[in-house]
Amino acid sequence: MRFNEVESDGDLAWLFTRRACMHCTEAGCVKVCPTKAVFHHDLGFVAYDKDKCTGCGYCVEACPFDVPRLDGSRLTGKAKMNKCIFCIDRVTSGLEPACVKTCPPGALDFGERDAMVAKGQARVAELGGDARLYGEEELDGLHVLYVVNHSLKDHKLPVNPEVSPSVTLWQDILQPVGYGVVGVVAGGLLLNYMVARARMVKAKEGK
Amino acid sequence: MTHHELVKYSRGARWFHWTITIAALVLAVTGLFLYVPAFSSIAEGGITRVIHRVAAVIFVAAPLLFFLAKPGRSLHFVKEIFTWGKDDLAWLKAAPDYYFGGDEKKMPPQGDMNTGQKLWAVVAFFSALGFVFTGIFMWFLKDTLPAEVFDWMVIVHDLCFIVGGAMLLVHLYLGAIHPRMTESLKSMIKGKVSAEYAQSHHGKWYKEITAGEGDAKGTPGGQGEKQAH
Repeated sequence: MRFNEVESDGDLAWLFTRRACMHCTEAGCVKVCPTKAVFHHDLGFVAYDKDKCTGCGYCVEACPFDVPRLDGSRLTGKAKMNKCIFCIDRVTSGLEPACVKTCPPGALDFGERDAMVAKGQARVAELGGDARLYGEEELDGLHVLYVVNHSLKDHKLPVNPEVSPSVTLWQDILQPVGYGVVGVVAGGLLLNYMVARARMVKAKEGK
Repeated sequence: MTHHELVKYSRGARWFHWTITIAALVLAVTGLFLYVPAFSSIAEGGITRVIHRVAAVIFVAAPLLFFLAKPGRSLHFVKEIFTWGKDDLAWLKAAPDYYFGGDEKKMPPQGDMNTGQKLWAVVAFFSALGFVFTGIFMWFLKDTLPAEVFDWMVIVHDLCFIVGGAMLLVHLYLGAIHPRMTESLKSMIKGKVSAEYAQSHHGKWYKEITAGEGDAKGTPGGQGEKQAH
């Protein structure tokens, strides 16, 4: 949880924000994870198989919300990432996530995304003013939605979260280029071997 | 024809070469496990990342140790690989036909390192610098770097891998497989080449080290020892 104390209409306001994985549809962590330890579950959230984690930490850098954390040794590089796993065992057994279950004032709710969006919009209409629903459109839709009634800055939420262009360049361009270059080189060398040997054998016979 | 052999690579140079080669191959393979999704399951335990770091230390230590042991030869080598002239242009023109099995007499005589070898050394030099520079950041400064900067470090690391890795493939091929490079691999293992091979592949070098010996015979441990590296 994040606790923000902000001034509002000359008064102090306390804003509590659940600071855990937002389960993005366009998820930087899923994009960069080399072992697919971080992946989209059929239900839409970003699941995580800790056994598959190599500890590379690329997800830590790729997350627009600065959520994943790496625990381990900096020296040897042996580490494991940690993040909210959407209580995968509970939600796939028909239970709500633990955070929803435990939240005393019932500020968190859980359900089908469409129903949650509808509920959030209704709440936004009820609050009026600057209230808005965060996560409906961001990154093709988050699977964690907030009704916020202060500025996003006060809530410490990024205004236009995006997967950074360097991640896109690296994953969508550089990797395929790498395969292409190696393929062309390997093919060229094979061709060179066959041509060079054939011509040298021929030259020898010609003598 | 003489049956003498000439010293091409000193013991120190060969040790350095093979140490850094093995380190580079281990680094390449353990790095590939993170680069190629099909291999990534091998990296799951994280052990390949530990091996990558051990190999990285060797990869950095080997040239430093070689430099401390033989500073003069190291500097001479670096100077040589960055010295380019019109002879190199002639090599570039003749190379495609030569390496595709054409008449070897059309290839102008080469020094102890030909233009292609110099080119490889230059690429290896710069990609090694790139690897080490970005690698240090990725290893030790991950938590301090802004995410964007870290991403760029990874991208440069990958670029070095693509360029350096592609050239390494070419180097391995020319050193060990190409039908014309009959003594290349042997010379890096045993240190010597036959006079015939030296004449046909490194004519200029052969002339230099056998100059003043009358019948143009090289003797191991003679002048070749001083000039070879």
